[in-house]
Amino acid sequence: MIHLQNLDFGYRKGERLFQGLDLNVERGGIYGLLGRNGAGKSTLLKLMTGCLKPDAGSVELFGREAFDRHPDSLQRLYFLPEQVYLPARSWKVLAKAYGPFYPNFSEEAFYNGLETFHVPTDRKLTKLSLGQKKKGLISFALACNTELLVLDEPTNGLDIPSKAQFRSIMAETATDERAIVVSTHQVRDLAGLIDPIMVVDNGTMIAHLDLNEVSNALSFSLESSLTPPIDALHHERVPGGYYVVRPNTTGRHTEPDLEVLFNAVVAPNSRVLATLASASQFQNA
Amino acid sequence: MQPISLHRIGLLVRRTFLLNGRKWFAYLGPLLAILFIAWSSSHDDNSNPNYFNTVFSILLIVFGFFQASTALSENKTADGRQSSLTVPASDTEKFLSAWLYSGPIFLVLFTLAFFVLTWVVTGILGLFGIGGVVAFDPTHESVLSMMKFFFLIAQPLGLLAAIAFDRYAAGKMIGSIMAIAFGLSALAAITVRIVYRDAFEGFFTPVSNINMGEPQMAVTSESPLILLLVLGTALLAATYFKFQEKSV
Repeated sequence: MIHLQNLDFGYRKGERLFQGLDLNVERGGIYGLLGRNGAGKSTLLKLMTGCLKPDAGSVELFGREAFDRHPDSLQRLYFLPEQVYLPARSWKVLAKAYGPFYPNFSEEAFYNGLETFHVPTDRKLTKLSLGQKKKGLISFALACNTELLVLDEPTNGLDIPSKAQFRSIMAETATDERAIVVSTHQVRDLAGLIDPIMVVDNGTMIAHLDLNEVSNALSFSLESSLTPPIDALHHERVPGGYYVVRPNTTGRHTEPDLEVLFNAVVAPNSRVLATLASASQFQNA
Repeated sequence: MQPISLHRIGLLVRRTFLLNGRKWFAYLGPLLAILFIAWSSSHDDNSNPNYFNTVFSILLIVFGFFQASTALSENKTADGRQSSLTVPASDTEKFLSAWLYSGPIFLVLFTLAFFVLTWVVTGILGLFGIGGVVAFDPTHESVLSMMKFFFLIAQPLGLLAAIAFDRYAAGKMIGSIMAIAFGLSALAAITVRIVYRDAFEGFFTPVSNINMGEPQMAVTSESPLILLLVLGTALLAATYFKFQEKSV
């Protein structure tokens, strides 16, 4: 669906945000795009969807150059940016204005989504809160029934019940025929949902991790020790002890804590990355 | 080659009507007010059969230019641009729909509105014995030539302003045109004074009875139209390429 090859991009000359970045997104997964603040997650999504032009390399979207913004490619994807733009009209007008561009758009699914998220349908869109706007657009995005959904920080501005609803709706939406790319810095909001995980750091894709393979290679546990476990690949102080990442020597699968995994991967001279590499169970993109 | 689908262009025009159609009502108020004031305050001209044709020509250019300068309003912010860029239609289709909406569609609706409003205004003021019956004739030669001017200059300039300036597009474009005109005039004046320096005393005072020669350019009656056609096409081409290069 999306193929980035040897991508170079920077907003200013001499300041490279990405250099030689490669990435593939295929059907059948909810890809989590993780990175520190300013790592370029949003920029990467804009490059993928043809909103930005790469300085070098190629970005292919459904077999076409993304920046050409070919209608056949655009009608197969829906991009929900972090900062949303809405006209001073109602959801009804929005559905009539934008819905027909998407061949599989379902007005019924859109209104059901608004109802599920408790989004008011009678108010001007510009008068809604950020969370209400986001939930309305998530409903619209899902109603478009596109093969590719690109969501930039979708849980920003969502209240706690809405985050749970979002997770449940996304889980229902994910099929083998569809790919969903979600960028977030609130990884716990998407725990149990995103797989695989792509980590962007210092202008390159430092890890492309399949969570099953991560569980095969690593074990995650909370240890109630008062001293840091020096033999661990990575550890983090948490209330009541340490959260510890070790090589998985027992073959027992443990659920990785995404936040800890991310910190372990982006740590300088990451031993977790080295372990995954030596186990040949990750793809260094 | 960018794809062009009439269906998608239709959807884009429909989208613009749905999102911005209410702006038409914003135009009707000022238009009605202008017509009332103009018609009631110009008794001397009321016998002129071309009165409304002249008023229409001026208003068409002014309203048409302002309307075109707001045609790509989504592009004024990064968020809006992103929303516009990801609408499933090619850049060419988006450009053509903006041209259609701010050109032919605007012209038809504006002419229709003006036609109806002139009858409303003359009818109401006629009840009070102000003015006579002067019909607006959209097929009059002077009106048609102003429509040509609208298509060739006012609309392309408005569209270029819309894509070139993020805020206050119309005002900035007028300012830019004035600056360019002033610059060119100054350049022409300086060139003339340098080339024909013998015809001037000092830098400013012309010497009388100096024959500077007849211009030898072949100016035909079609020349201004060709010039406008070339200029209009160039403005639209510049707008299109600038539009195509837009990114977030």
